[in-house]
This record gives sequence, structure tokens and C-alpha cells, in this order.
Amino acid sequence: MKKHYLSELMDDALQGDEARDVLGRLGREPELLRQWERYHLISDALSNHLTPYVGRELQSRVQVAIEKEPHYLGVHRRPWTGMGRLAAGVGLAASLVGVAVIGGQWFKGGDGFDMGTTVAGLAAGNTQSATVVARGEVRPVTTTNGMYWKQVEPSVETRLNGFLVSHSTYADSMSPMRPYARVISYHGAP
Amino acid sequence: MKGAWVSAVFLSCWIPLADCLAGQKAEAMSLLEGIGESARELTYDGVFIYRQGNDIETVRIIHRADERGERERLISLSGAPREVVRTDLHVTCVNSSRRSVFVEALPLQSPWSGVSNLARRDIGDHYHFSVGPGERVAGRKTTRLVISPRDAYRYGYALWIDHESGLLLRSDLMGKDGEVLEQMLYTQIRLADDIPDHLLDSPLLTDGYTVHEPVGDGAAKPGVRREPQWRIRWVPDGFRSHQVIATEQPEGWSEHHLYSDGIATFSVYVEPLVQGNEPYEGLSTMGALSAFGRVAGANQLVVVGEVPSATVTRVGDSVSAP
Repeated sequence: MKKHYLSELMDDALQGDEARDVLGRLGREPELLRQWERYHLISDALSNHLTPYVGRELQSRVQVAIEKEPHYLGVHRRPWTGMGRLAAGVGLAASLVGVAVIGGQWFKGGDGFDMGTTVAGLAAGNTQSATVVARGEVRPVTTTNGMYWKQVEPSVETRLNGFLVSHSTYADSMSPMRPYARVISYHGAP
Repeated sequence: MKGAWVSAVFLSCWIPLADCLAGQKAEAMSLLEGIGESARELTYDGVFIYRQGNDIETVRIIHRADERGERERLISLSGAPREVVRTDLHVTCVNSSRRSVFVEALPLQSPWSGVSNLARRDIGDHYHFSVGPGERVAGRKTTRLVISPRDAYRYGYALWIDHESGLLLRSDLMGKDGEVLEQMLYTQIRLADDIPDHLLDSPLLTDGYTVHEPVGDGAAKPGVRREPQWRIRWVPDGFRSHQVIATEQPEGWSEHHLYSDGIATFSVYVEPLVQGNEPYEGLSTMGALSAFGRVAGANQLVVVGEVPSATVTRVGDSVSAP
């Protein structure tokens, strides 16, 4: 698979069958998953979206790497737009080969909980869940674009979120965390 | 005579089959009860992946349950920092990119306590159940429970439940054609005896954020309630009313009607239409969630829930004014 498909998927530039095909392959190919995770890590670092649990040092190293690669500094973009492509470019840069390796280590939180095993593990295929994914037993999720309300005016969106949070406090009959997983994953309309 | 033989053969096959189906349902009920109890009563620290459409979120969950009560924190590990902190009394949702905070009061008594058995008494009329061994998830052995709806007004589920703890480790929520609309998958989980306080406090709760007032019951003035006035004239078979609350807000009376069939839930909100607020009309979806809004007189009506679009639309159309 050409690597630009991954960056296009990150940028929501891939639709329909192509998107489904890439998602399917992500479920079957551990190396592709690893690449996908690397792009996200770099993309988050580029957009200052790394959480405190990941650590600031990775962000600094990505910035340093970019500065060493003037080629990427000329990229004009709106926030997030083309981030996947940029991440792909940076990810392929020789100066950042180490990022993928060290990436998982940054997820090791101060409390000793090894997030690196989780996130990097998914990518590396060394956890059972990743094996499940790799075996293709996880069916592709129906393609939609982004975690936000569809067909909603921005002025209505916040109120609808209020109803979502309110309903979530009751919708825990089976799995208390599921409703809040939706809430925390909410990105808002692009 | 031949008819009697046919009947005997039929019965000899049917009775074990019926027993088997009844056994599957009983086992499914037991597993479902256990999922909720384990999630609430155990202390654990884990990471799960939540997938919806093309989007994959990695979320850390830290949950503590002890004599002090229940406290939970969910932390988004990618993208803009977002957190949800839930205690016995409140749920606080923080989105740093939008600099917004939603705070919602939790009901003092869960509407599910004591009624889930009642709600699930006729659940077999609306879902098929199948129980079997599941693949390992997050390195743990599981039992797989598949719940298939018998009509188009609800979704289906495939659940992978931890053998040892009863926790739900993986959940696929499926649409009518079996397509997975939403997926949750633990990649790592650690059962713990205790979790220190500092891991349960969010560092994101800072000044300068817009705090959104609660809707529904959370906005209620204590003690100011009345009998509900609005009527929901149609819900799918098997959905029962679990809670109806009418409360007074600054703009007028609002109502919250909660329905569940023991698996799926939806809420109906009726609120005064506030001047200056754009009415919400029509249908919206987000993964497995559907919302339908319309204006009824001077009121905004919203139906939201983990059910197909057809369900919220039909329910919303059936709501009638006092």
C-alpha cells in the first residue's frame, strides 16, 4: 500500500471504498497499524495536542526535527488540515526515525502505568487486542467522518451536547463507561 | 398414528431446543447484570480504544470504588486534551480545545437500581441471545455474548466479557445489516486494590472555561417539581418508562422522560424555547447515537438515545402537548 493513503486517511481526504480498504488493511497489517500510530503521535506533537501524560520532551524533539528539515517549514496549512501529510513527511524523515521507537516510551506515565504498551502495543501487534485486529476479526466500522453531530447547525451543537451529557448520566444500564466514551471522543464539527 | 409420531419427534426436538434457548437467555441476563455491577464496584485502571467511523480514540479509564463511593476519570490520550470526571454526585466533562466544561448532576438513585430485572423480564421478546467462548481481549479470557434485535427499532451488540472480573472488555454495536457502528476495545486493564486520589483529579479544570448549565434534571431547583404534562404516545414494544421528571427552570417548566428496554435507552426532553436560541429541528446522528428535534408551540422537544434514527423520529413525532 502506498503510504500516502494513510496520510490522506488522517486528513479525511479518503472516502468510500478507498477509506474502507485502508481501514480493513489497518485491521490486518500490524506494520501499517504501527505506521498509523506513528503518524498520529507526530501529528499530535506538531499541533501541540500531546497530553501531559505523554510528556513534553517528545514534542520538543519533533519540533527540533522539523527545524532540521527546512523542507517542512514551508508547508502552509490551516490547523489540522494536511496534518497527516505533514506527519507522514516528518515520519519518513531520517532524523525522526527514532520517534517511532521512543514514542511508546513517552506514554509511560508518572504513576507507573505503562501506556506505551497500550498505544505502541496496538501498533506493534504485541497485545492480544492487536492480534484480534490483525486477524481481521474486528469488522470495519461503518465509515463516517469525525465524531460530531451530523446535520446540525453550530448554534445548536452546544445545546445538543448538553442533552447528550444529560442522557449519558442515565444511559449506563449495561456499560457505564460507554456513554462517556462518546462524550470524551466528541471533537466538534470541523 | 403417523401424526402422533410426528408430534412426538417434533416435541422431542423442540423441548431441548426451548430449554437451550431459555438457558442462553438466563445466562445472558446473568452476564448483563454482572457487567454493570463489575464496572461500578471494581477498582481498575485501563486503556481502551473507541472507534466510530474513521476515528479512533484512545482513552485511559481510572475507576475507584470503595467506602468513599465511586469515582472515575476518563482521559483522552490523543488530540486536544479532554477529560470526564464522574463521582457519585456529578459528572464533569472538560474539552480544552473548546475551553468548555459541562457539569451535570447525577441522579441520587440510579434509575437502574431495582428495576433492571423488571425491565429485562420480557427482554427475550425483543432480542435473541447467544453465549459462547470469546477470543482473549487485553490478554484476558472472555465469554462472548451476542445480542441481536428482533426489530429495526434497536441495535445489536456483541460483547466480550472478562471471565475473571465480569468487566466488559470489548463491545461492538451493530446496525441493522450487521455493520459495526461503534466499537470499544480494552487494550490493557489492571485490577487494583486502590487508586491514589491524585490520579482521579483532572488538571484540566482551570479558570477561563465556559461552563454550560446542566439540562434536564441537573437544572432542577430542589423541591420544585410537578406531574409531567407531556405525553409520549408511541415507543417501540418493550421500552418502558423508567423515569419522568418535570422541573422548573428559570425559563419555565421542563420535562425529562427516560425509556429503556433493558439494553438500549433514549430520553425525551421538553424545554421552553428560549428567545434568541435557534430551534433545533430535524434528525442528527453521531455513530450509534441519534437525536431528533422539533418545536411544539413555545417548546423545544428533543429525543436522544442509542437507538436507530427511525426510533427517535417516530417517538418524537408521537409526543403531544398537554
